[in-house]
Amino acid sequence: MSRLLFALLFLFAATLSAADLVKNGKAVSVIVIGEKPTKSAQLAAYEIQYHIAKKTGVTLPIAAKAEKGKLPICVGGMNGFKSQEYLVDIKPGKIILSGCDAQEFGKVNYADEKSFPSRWKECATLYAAYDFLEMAGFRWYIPTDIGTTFTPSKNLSIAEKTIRRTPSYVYRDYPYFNFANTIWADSNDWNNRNFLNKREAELYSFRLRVGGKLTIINHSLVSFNERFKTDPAKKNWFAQGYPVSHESQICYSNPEVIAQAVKDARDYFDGKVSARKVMGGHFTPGTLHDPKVFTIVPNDNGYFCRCKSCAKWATYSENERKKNAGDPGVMSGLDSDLFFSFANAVAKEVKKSHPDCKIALLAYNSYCQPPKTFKLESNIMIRMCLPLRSVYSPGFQKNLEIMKEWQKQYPGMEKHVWFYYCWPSINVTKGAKNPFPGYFASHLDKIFEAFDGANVTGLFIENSKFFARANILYDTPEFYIAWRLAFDRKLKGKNLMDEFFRNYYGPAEKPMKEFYLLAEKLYGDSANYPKNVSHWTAIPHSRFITPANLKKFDGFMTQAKKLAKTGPYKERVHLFEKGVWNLLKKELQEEYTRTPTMQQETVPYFKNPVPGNPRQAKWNKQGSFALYGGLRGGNTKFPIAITASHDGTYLYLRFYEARDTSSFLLNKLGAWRDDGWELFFAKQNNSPYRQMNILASGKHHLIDIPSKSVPKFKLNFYNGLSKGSWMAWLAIPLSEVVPGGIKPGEILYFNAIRAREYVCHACWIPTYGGYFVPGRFGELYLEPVPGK
Amino acid sequence: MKKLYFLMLFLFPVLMPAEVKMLVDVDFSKEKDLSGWQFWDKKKFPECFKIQEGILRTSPKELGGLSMTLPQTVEINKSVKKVVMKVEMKQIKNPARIITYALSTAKTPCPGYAAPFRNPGEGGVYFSVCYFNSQNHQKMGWRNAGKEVIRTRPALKPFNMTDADQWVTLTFTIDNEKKILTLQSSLGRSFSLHNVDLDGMTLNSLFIPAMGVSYKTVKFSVEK
Repeated sequence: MSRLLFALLFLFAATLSAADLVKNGKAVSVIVIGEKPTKSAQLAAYEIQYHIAKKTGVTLPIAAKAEKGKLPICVGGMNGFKSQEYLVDIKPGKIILSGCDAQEFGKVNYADEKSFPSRWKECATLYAAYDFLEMAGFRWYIPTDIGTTFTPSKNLSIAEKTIRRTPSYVYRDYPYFNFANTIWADSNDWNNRNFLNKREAELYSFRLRVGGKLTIINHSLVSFNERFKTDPAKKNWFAQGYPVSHESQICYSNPEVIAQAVKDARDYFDGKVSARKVMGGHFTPGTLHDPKVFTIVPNDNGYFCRCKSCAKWATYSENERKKNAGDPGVMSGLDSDLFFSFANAVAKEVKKSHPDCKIALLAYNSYCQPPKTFKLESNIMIRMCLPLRSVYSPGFQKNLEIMKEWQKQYPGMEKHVWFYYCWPSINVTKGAKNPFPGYFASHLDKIFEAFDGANVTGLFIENSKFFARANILYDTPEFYIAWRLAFDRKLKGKNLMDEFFRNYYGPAEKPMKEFYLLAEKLYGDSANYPKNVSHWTAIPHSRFITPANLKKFDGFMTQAKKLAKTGPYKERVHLFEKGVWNLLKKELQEEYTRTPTMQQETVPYFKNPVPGNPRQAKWNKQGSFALYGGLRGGNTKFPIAITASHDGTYLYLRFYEARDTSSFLLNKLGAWRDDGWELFFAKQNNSPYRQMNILASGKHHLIDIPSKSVPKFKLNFYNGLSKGSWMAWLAIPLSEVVPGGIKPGEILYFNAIRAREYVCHACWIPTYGGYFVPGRFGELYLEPVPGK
Repeated sequence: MKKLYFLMLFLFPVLMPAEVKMLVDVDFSKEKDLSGWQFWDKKKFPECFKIQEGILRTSPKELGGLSMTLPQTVEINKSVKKVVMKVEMKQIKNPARIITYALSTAKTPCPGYAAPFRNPGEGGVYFSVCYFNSQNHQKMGWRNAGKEVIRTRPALKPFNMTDADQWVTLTFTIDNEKKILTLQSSLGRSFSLHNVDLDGMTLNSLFIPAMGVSYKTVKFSVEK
């Protein structure tokens, strides 16, 4: 019976009318764009022409008017659409592909991306064109022709259908357009700046329908530092408890600061100042950022003001702070009341003069959760920054809860998500290692359902990159799937995933899918991670690729290569092998064969005549640590040394290097990036650990990982920077060097990395991973105090 | 009475004298030949290893060494308190070399291999010394399955553990109770590697280097 039903359904479908575009290798249709096409319509016409020619070998003509006897594919030219709305109307006699377009009519040259329309202006005719091309069987999984899938045919007809809709999300954006020219990137090749041509990158973004209404919500309060940090009268505008620098936080309870922010917002809305001036460097001149949205986001560090008025907003007890902060991978609300109180005060004032404008905030890091003690104003919108790729972490579920909480408290608020795809690949920026890929496409349906529950209408995906180059193979197919889901919430991630393996790998679908699913399972299994791991931690490959798994992966690859013998399928399997599998094998091999170079140094006891003053410690008797030239071993390239001693109360460290310091980065890129040492201290060879950054500029920063809290103790740091050398002396109380302190006779776990702009120039223990490899801390044995 | 009984039971292991077993006790003044020793390259023997005037003299050109299989396997476990290797040696000034001694899990590091550990597979403990006052040239470490687990170097100057053309006694101790490896030189210097948990390791041989080094005695003992 059911067979009969299916047969009837099939016959019914076959009898539906269809529009013929190409028949027996001949064009029976024409692309009509009218006399005065918008830029969007012109590019849409070129895209349709290009793709149909790829599929059928027939180039459809593009004309201003319809031709007799040929099916007109009318592209653009209609009015009456809402923002981003478009129409796809396929009838046997006429096809209409049109949408809301910016009224820009300059000539588009298909070969030159500079002539293309902007994705941040209305260009919905293009959306219609891509929907239409999808109906014709095209998909765009990765940039360039290798990522475009279709079935070649001498005929092309499309079934009758009408769609009129707007994209599900109004804002769709990602930051790293610099794809590698080879599509794949090796993180060890970090100097390589060979990028894919901009035209291909731009077309790929159009095809994913990335764009919409641009709202840049990023660290904006740097504008205060840029404008006021040198003004002595405004010293108290900046966070108390720290020296004023280009990255200082501001004092959020200072009425003058609030008044300035209100003035900035009003001036921006009134067109009196540029976005760049009042919202910082993320707002490039000429930005298409929404003129009715003013962004307020703190600088990207945890050094919040410690003045009495700001302290009033501390809604968490020290114990709660520790408990809340100690959950790796979870964004907290520890500083929510402090920051949001400021933003709220600005929003309240601005609403009086500009009721139709919005104040945009990030819900990020320690101010990711809603404030506890007050309600936010109705003119505030937020972008929730969530590391939802960490599906292995207990924090994953908690991050989903954060979204729910925002929705519960603010159902009517405009909400976007900043989705971190950048981990684990971003770890290579601090360690030159190709990570195990964080595949997680099977989780996307669940995640997007949570977005639906929170009424999310905008998505920013911080995509994977190895140094400067975006690495799409580490995001395939999850990048493609996310954009399809953001554009059309009626789609299902699972179906898109199945379709990807079928379309992209063809005959090799089965082994490549099995490879992916095994990698995804291993990545997502919390058992494969050390305890308390943060998403910054580089995980050794051997945790994922056991000998048994290696055999399985190898088997899948061999099978895939056997099955995909020709055409694009062969190329795609080969690309995956080069860009993912070979890199993983190389890293794995290195992990197994490299000498671990784990070291222990005895820290001798010497009495210091001036306890706590590292300049007075005895330095002439000790040897120095054996340092390596990089995180993979190798020789140092310039004289560099670390020497240590203790006096039973303080640990003394002296750092020395002899080289020309004129090109040192001092107060340029900020903490953790300027020339300096990154020091790691732990009570065990694992997380948690205390991290310090001492900079050649004389500044220092402390943070506890994974809690991300800032330890409060006095570090005695003396800095000696001259033209030909840099010396630094540190005295750290033994009671504070790690939480709970350390005593003479015990082992202190430690590593030191001489870093500059994410590049390791020397280190004590090579990690063969990134900076954050707590399993690769060396050992400092603190010699007992004589007589004790 | 019962209390006294328990007290005696409690004190028995504490007061019981430690048992020191000398497993290797070679005094070259008493040896006529090198029976019991293995050479990494049999072809080069005997011109590279000669007992003359009660001293074993090795050739400076010989870059390998000698190994001896221990008369019984020594498993490091809770019953083992200390393991000691002691050599009376003299390093020649020219050519200057870094020389390495080891206790290995390999049954016969020699012949066929110039080092005490093969990769992959073998482990053990080692120390390397030289007469230069150089921190990098003195070290000791612990290896497991052919890979080094951790190493250390002396922290204080002077660093050299031997002296050129001078007889020196080197005492290498595994203190399994305190989990410490210590190298002591009769020059009055020592350094240690702490936190070394060797439980489960089985020592099967000792290795001494050639490279022109002369030897009076080689001793190996286990204290339980």
